[in-house]
Amino acid sequence: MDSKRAILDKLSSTPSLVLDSPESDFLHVVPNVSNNPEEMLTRFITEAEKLICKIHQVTDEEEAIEEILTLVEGEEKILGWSLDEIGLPSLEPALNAKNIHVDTSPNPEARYGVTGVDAALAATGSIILSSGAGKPRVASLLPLVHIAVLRSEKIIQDLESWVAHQENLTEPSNIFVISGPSKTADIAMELVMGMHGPQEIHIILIET
Amino acid sequence: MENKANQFIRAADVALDDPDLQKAVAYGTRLGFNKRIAAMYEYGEEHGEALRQQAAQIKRRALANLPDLLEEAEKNLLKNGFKVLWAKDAAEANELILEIAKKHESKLAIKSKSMATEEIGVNENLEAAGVEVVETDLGEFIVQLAEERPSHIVVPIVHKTKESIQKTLEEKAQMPPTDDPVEMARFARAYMREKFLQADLGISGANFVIAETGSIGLVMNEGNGRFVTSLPKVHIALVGIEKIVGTLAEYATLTQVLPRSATGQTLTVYTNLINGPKRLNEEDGAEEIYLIFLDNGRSEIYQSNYADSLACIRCGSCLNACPVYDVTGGHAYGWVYPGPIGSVITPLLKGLENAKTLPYACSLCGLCKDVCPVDIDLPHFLLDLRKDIVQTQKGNWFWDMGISAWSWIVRHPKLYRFAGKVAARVLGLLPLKEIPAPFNAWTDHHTLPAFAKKSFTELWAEHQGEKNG
Repeated sequence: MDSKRAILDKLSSTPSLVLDSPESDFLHVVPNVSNNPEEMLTRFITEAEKLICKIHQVTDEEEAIEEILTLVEGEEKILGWSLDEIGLPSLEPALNAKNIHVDTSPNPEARYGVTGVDAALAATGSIILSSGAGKPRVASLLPLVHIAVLRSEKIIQDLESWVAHQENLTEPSNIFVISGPSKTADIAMELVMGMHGPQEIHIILIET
Repeated sequence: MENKANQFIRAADVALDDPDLQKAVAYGTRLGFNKRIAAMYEYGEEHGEALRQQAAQIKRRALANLPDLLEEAEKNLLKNGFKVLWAKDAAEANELILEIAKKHESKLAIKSKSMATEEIGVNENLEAAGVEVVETDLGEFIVQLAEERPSHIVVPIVHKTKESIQKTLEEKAQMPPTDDPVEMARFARAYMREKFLQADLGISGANFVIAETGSIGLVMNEGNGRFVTSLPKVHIALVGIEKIVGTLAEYATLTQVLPRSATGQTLTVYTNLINGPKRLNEEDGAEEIYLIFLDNGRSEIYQSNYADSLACIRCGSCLNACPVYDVTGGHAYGWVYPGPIGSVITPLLKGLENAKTLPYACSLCGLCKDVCPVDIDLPHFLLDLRKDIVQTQKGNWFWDMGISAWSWIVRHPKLYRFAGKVAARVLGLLPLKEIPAPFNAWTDHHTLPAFAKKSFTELWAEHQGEKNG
């Protein structure tokens, strides 16, 4: 407590030597992103592919499940959000039929992780996920391949428009914007994908 | 962290004789420099400049309201379940961290990249108390194995070649021989995986603390920072008091401008917002998060004429732009923060007398201000620091004597002109390529040019004569 007071007293005793500029309307970092759903969809796909995400465009849940099954074929255990949270009710029986079990705890053996997506950004091709009941953080972090199920209506313009609509931002303990697979360029500036997190991101994009 | 800033000249000499370092640093900084330009000005020069000014204003506004915002941040952080602590200096921060580690009986700490923790030397502190500390960022991990220090704020091993990284990993971590960066990274991934799953303490910094929401913002590419803040039961975030931003909207600008300026990315791979410990219904996350606000000299800077340097968001773009950093690399600067920003804040944080060569490690070219995403006038600050040094520090007697002689002679114009003529005549007659010791510092690295036949004063008189006649 003493240190807090000492620090704040010192800061407060300083005459206002730093300018206090008037608050102005903020420019968006990526300007003029259309809010037309079709244009946002196209932009999202372009930007996500630039980030080396693989986009699987599907038109309904059945196709989405097929794409996921093709990817995880032959696995015994995968990580994932609880199937309710992913928003594909018939994924569970489909996985059961193939004897694939979905784990929500940090199983280091699992090579695939299946999650839903809270929102996606057209401007940068990013997906936004948060922690919550049935939404383990590790599902999008531990496995080598992250499969994210995104419904096209969740695509919005950019980070600025996302923050403008956050009313319960601090309800989840963690929110993370993911822009492509984990990477590093620490060794002689050479790009390596999948440093600590997933090496591949597959976005199952359900166009509705 | 030991401060060797006063050995800059000697350390720079060593760096200048190291061709591997020269090549690696120049390659890395030029890449960073060009990527920044492409990303900041992706939507035109005008838009990029306006963004830079917007980011600059956001940080200035936060600084102007710093005490109030810190109180607001603390209130909201507490509401979100953070434990908030304050440290006036490095010793107190280390004490607090050690207390937390003891209380939770921590044995293995995993760390993500943080300049503040470098500043207080948290690894040495914890290791002395028997806690194993593992750096989890690939570059920082290699630095730790090699028993070195990071040489760049964003790219810690920009100074190292692929070959030297390979050697470190093979010798210090028993990596099976390979010169492929992908294989090296895979090795580090597997090595680190075990640590991630065993660790009981996570230590990070923070890029931003958002006062309005009581959240911390972290940017990262590798994802180690998500492990550090998610898997261990206890998480400590050490944050400089200047990392505050007022609102979520302001954060949205800064968290995008930072990667554009640092690495030329639109966003880092993970833009991570932490709102507190794991909620009751959640699956994973730290159960306790301690946020330590670190002063360690920052409030002194706040009270000085250099307060504006606290606006820095540590993007490293001034390092990439600097012609001095480009050839010396970061280690020559002798402490935690290299490059132009380091030359400004090291003397301020460690005392002028302990870093008095750094403000001179600058050609005053001004590029560091132009590339700064928050428009800090670094060249001006470096000049001001030189003035402070001359006014407050005892100089070198040899230098002082030379300056006194110079000052005396220029106050006597006739004598000055006469001496100039004599010098030109004498030196013109001698076939000198360099000036003999002890006046040889300059000619060690340059060829002595021939004196002009006529002095400037003579040329000027002729010029005036022609103009008037």
